[in-house]
Amino acid sequence: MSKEDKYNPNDPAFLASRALDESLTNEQRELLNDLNDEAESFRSVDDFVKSLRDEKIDIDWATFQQTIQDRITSEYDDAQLDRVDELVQGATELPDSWNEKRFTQGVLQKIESTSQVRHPKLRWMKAMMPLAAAAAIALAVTMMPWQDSTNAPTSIVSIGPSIHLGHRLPLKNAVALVSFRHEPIAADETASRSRVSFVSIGSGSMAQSQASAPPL
Amino acid sequence: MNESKTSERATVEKAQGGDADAFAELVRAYQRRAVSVAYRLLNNIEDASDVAQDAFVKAFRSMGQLEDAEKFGSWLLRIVGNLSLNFRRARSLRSAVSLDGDFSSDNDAQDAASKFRLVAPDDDDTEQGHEMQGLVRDAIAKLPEKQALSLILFSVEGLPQKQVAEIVECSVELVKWNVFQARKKLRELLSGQL
Repeated sequence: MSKEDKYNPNDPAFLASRALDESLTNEQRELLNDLNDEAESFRSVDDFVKSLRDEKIDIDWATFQQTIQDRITSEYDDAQLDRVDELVQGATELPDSWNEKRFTQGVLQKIESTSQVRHPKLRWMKAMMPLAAAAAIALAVTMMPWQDSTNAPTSIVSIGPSIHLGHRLPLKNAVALVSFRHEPIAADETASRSRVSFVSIGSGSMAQSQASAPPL
Repeated sequence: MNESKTSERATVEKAQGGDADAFAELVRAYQRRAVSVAYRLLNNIEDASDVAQDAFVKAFRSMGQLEDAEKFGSWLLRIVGNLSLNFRRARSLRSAVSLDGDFSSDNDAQDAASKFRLVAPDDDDTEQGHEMQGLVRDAIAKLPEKQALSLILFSVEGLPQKQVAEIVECSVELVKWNVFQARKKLRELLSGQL
């Protein structure tokens, strides 16, 4: 049996069909009457809605506009709002104690102090980065020929770009801004006159050859 | 008017190139307005001066980011406005924290009182006029941030709505709405004084 065929004694169509046969019980007749009343009330609502649709709405736009205008005017009440602006202006004037000159100086001092701290660092960093890299490469290349101890290089470390400002430093694995020169040591001498074969600014390990380095 | 704009543009471009004298000129031209805006938002001249100075320093460091030299004023006032509002929020937070605290001793109570003085009127606010000013400043402090900033820039500083919109970073319509709402609220708050 399908769902549609399922017996429903309260089905309105079934009740209407039974009413034609006059074979309804009292209870079923009451139910059918209720359903009829309900259908009638829905019809009334539908008629009402239809009547609304057909009704012409007459709005007095002039009055409507005036009402809005009055409302806005009362909200904006120019005189009062102007007074608000005046009060705000008067209450927030800068006090006499505020001094323009002192303020300007304060700003410029703040800018100057922050610039002084930052710029030299940046300048040195910019100069050092490529030089350090170049020197590291140069060091590696120039150290290569003196692998045996009899031909070891003498390294002199100096601070600054010139060897004339140089100073021997007891550094090991140090990173410094240096001038660097080296000379091979002959087998029959403990120290020889300086002969600059490479000068650069860079970094490296210097201490191992310091003992045999001649004074500057 | 156009001449002064051109001249300011040239000054801004010089400052963008790192000319400190040109920037000093801009500081002198805008400092009063910058401090005024900060003062109206913060209600304390020392705080306002500090915030305005920080704004200028920040502007100097970020001059490269300013794309249109003619908009230096709006750009600077946006920095001033943002820093002031940040300061105002931080100060409210500090006040809230101190309100939560238990002021058991006289010293604590004095500390709390000094903190609240940041938003209270000055010492000599005993006269009627000063009392009124205190009321107005308190009323402004009660306005929402964007409404307060819009009102100050438009109604008090007299900037055009378009420029206020640039500073507050919103539409012109929203500026109008904010100003209207701010005035309405102030009218309510100051109803006894109007």
